[in-house]
Amino acid sequence: MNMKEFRPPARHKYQVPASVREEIERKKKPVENPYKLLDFDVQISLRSLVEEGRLSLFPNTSRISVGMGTCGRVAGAQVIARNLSERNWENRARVISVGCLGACYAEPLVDIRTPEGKHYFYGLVDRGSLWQIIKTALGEPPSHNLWAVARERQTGVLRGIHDLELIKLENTSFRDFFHPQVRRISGRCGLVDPQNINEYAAMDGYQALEKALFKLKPRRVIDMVANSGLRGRGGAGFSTGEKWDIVSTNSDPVRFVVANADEGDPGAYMDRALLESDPHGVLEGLIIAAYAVGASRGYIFVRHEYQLAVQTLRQAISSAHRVGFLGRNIMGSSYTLEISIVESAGAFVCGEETSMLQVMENNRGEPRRRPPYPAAQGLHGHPTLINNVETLANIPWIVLNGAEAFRDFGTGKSPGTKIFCLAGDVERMGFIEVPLGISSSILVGEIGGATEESVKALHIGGPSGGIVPYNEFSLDYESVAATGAIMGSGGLVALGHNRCIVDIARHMINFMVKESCGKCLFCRDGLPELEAHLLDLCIGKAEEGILEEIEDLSQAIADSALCGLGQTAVNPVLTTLKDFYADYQAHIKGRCPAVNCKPLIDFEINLTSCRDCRACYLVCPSGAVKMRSGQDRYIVDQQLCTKCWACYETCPFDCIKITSEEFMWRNSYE
Amino acid sequence: MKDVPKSPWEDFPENERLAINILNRIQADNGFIPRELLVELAECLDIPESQLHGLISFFNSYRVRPAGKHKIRICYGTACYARGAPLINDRFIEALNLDGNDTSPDGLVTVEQVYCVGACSQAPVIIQDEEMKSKIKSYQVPMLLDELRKKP
Repeated sequence: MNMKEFRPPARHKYQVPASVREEIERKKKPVENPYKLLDFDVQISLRSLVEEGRLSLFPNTSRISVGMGTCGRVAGAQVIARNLSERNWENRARVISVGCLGACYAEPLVDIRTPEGKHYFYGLVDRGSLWQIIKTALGEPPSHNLWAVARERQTGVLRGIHDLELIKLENTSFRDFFHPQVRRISGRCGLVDPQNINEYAAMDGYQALEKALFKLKPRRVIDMVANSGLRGRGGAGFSTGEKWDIVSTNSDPVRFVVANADEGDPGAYMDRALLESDPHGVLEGLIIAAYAVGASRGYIFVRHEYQLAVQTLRQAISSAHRVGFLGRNIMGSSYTLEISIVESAGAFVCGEETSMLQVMENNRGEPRRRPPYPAAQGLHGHPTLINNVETLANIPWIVLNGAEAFRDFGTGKSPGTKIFCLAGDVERMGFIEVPLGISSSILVGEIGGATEESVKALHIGGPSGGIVPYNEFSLDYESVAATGAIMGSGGLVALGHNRCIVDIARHMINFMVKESCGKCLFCRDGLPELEAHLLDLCIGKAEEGILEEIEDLSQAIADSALCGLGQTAVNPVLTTLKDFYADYQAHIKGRCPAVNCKPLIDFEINLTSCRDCRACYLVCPSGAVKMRSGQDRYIVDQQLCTKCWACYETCPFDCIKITSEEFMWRNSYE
Repeated sequence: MKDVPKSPWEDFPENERLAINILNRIQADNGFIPRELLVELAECLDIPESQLHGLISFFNSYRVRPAGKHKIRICYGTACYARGAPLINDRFIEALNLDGNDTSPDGLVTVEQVYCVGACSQAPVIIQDEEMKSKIKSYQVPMLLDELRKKP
């Protein structure tokens, strides 16, 4: 080694990390162009966006919006959109892809706005209703297939779905679904073009950012959020204002914000819906949050499975950059922020904040012990604000309307509205925004359209939530916790009488076995053991005393696991053991009350209503359905039957009976 | 043998140059993560290769072996599970003779389970090569496979 280059390492001297030094240098530098700080410059810029947005939101031609969220695409909206946009409209209509209106059961959903401000909604669109849509867009009176007609209360004012009033209703489900809802943060979803920043601006978008940057000090923004009583929507329900306060009062000048869009809870998709349908709303919230805590770098940690959301988000970030709402000197102020996207690759535990940070530091996503909380010591050791996407989407509303107005809905401890995702055995599925503290029967019964008899249990809060019997309770953080479940991010799966509770609980544990990071013993080895016990029940090999073992083991895992994932992983088992004990006992005796567990059920053919269509015979993959002459024309050979349910699903006359000794099949949702 | 692919991290913006983003890109380009690229990536990011292996084995969606020609992902979220996803899975296993592997012996199809794609209202959902299909019944599986076999 060349002696000139050699310098002894300064080991004992404290060195300021390079990132901190850069940040300090950057803050010392004066703003490049002080004249840009003038207010009118910004006013013009945002106002011109609004003008452009109004032109595309309220054109003097017809505007056809096709719901192209993931749920719409799955239901076949792409074909509809292609058919419509390939038509030669001769400047009489424009076809636009929007996100999801929330009524996922009605997808593909098309909304036609006529120049006079009327909105015609068509649900469950197929090729048959295309012609009706075209006729409506061309100004002819619609005849059938129409679901609802709404009018803008004031023509040319549309800030959310609350600015629409129903004037004609052809399908009552539409009113039942929307009427009990309060659409505050998801009001724009399905109306605004997510790719178009102008339309967002025209719907009162980026007004809150402007207000925060030029009229409010960061401290004031934090106070507003704290006074509103907003609680984190990711599951734990920690006070958002308090979290912001911790980050902003830290002495470290390098701070980060991270939007947590790693929505792993099966059954919850509000983050996806928000990111796909209204990405600028989330982005605006993130920018305000970063401004309030003084961060100069933001990340959005989003699930890999949500490809459409990632694309929409990238597009939104680049258009926000283009108009100067991101990057250097946002809106001409002295505030600078860069936002980048991190794509997760499919691990449930990464929704946990410390685990997420580990991945962002290129490590395995194993959670670490808290405290120190990330708000004090997070990404690369700097204070990091981590907020859920839905929490951030609340921020612009609070800044614009004030903390007091936020408390108009919800309960004292849990103010505001919350998005729930309703799926499973209900008539109307979708994402639903309601005030916190609403009764479960309104949500599942009125909005979802399920009857008291058809729903047996509710699965709340994803795999770390619980399965509770369907009866009336209020949906806020405390009341849900009292039932033994957790609110989680707000996924609600209604389970009908034909769903085996034990099997669902086993499925949840199986999910957790796969998702356990393997760091601590109880979670890594206890959960597979628990799953094996539950599997014994499902295949009819369980013995007396197994339920006590299951309970003991679950309690031990809940008490000893390191992180939230392990501690809550056994919730589905503990809640079902409490409320559905009879189901477990029946499984010990080799019966499945919901006739769902394959080894415990038998298929039979009831010939009284049989019309000899031979569908069951033709569809059976294993040749178990046999035809003979005489009285018993069709019988199921139990030796050959693989219990694939193909015959049951095909039979048009409901002749297939499924029995589990004394229990009979009860179909609850069809 | 394909010629050596361009390093996918070259066109990444500076602030998105995280291992996980790059690994996602590699996986998307190749269908799996080849060992050679991993060595190169470890050098480029200046982290040990073992750390990258740690990341890969941690996440569900990464593969280190090549996948089949077509990829079928069955949503195993709660709503899809309750509405019959395991029946579909069992039918695939039977029809493709999977026997514990995720790829059929003829290399035609890889079957994977994913946890919730967020289309719970259309359950059960499967994703066949980026194309989502909703409300699948198990007896449709043989027809789906026939279609796949006919595809060039």
